[in-house]
Amino acid sequence: MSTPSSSVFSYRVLKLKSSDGEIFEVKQTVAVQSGVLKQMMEDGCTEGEIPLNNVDSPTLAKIIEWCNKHHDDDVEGRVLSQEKEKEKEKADMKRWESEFIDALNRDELYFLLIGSNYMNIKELLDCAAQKVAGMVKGKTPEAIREMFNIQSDFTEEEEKAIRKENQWAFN
Amino acid sequence: MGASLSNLTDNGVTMGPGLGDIPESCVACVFMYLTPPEICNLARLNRAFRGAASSDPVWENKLPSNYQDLLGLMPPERYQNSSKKDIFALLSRPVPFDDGNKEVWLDRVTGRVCMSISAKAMAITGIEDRRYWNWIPTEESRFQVVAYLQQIWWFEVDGVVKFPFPPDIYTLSFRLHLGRFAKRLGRRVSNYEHTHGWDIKPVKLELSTSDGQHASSECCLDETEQDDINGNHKRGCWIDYKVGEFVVSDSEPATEVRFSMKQIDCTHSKGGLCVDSVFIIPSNLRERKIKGVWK
Repeated sequence: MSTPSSSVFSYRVLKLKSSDGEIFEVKQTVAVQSGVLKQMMEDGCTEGEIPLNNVDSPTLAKIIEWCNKHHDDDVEGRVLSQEKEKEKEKADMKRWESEFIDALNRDELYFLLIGSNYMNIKELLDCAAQKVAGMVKGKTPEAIREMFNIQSDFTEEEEKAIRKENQWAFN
Repeated sequence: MGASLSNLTDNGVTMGPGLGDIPESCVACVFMYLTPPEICNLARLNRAFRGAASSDPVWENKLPSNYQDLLGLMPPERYQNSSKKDIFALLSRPVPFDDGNKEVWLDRVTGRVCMSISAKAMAITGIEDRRYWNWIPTEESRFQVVAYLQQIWWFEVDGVVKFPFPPDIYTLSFRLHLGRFAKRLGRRVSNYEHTHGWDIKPVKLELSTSDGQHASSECCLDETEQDDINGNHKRGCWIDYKVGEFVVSDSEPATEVRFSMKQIDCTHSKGGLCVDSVFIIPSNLRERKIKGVWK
């Protein structure tokens, strides 16, 4: 009995329900990448439909595409004997990830960030966060406000206080 | 979460999502990929951004793993109950140690550890004899004083520092100034009346570490007269002369670094040189201006 614990779930399927009511069937071995779903599996409460109220169907489809790709990479029993092969697989995966993220428009990226945070899929969240970080790098707060449609919710006094508490970083 | 009022224009038309609705935990993830000045800049966006810009996990990620060692140089009341952000801000200003003759600080952008060591903390041959060396107070030194060499035959400056440097590659350099400088009628002027002997033979710069690394370089501190037609670039300005690099793979045990600068050919004298400090800076820390010419 030396099979990894995740294989217990291999042939079972979870039914995920997006916020707009669409059902997605996902293998448990794939779903385990979500910290939230993994916890539910361990607690044995994955019977029936699992509602994901913060994730709409286009976003959930994207998230599952990501998880499937990363699951494939982890297929049990496949041993990469050569270091070189491993390196290449890694590089290929990196390329796939950046293409996946770069293909998203701003709204899709936003929902993916929220969705992966909500479902606790660390690698995807990191990837999306890195993309957003690249978009805001070197821009003024005003430019970022405009770019992402962010309204300030500060009073004038708060704004002054914030400038003061962060002044040290710019001297 | 999701769409919020900030997506509504004055006409009530939905504009699609914006980062304005983003939960603080997501912003914190984005901040993992940004530098401290960028994070402080984004704190102005809205409450979620400000909250994330003050959160401990974000700043713990920017601090070196052994930042406690740096805090240990300060009285505890200066950092007790401080957030990680405040600790980063505190450590990004120079922290003096060893009687105030050495300073360590975090680079604001990268969080990497930088250090400076005053000539005051070095062993300088002949420093007690005022015919050779003098201490000159000046604002041009971060330690407010530099050692000025009038004339000497045996030129030797040695120093040592033991510190739990975090893992990194460091460049050690001497900060020197050929000629004596002063302010006259609000203008800075340099005077080279004592400056001589540095174009004859190179100065030897060396470093060694407690784990057996060595590096050295040689450099003529002055240019010969023939080069003077195009102006002398080695006089009248502060120059960082690179000694070499050393690698730290662990902050434990603390690394001891010894460094020296020598020109001990006693067939000729040399003089007219200011010695300010030694810098130990992570290699390739942005585009630091190391103007030194090392051959």
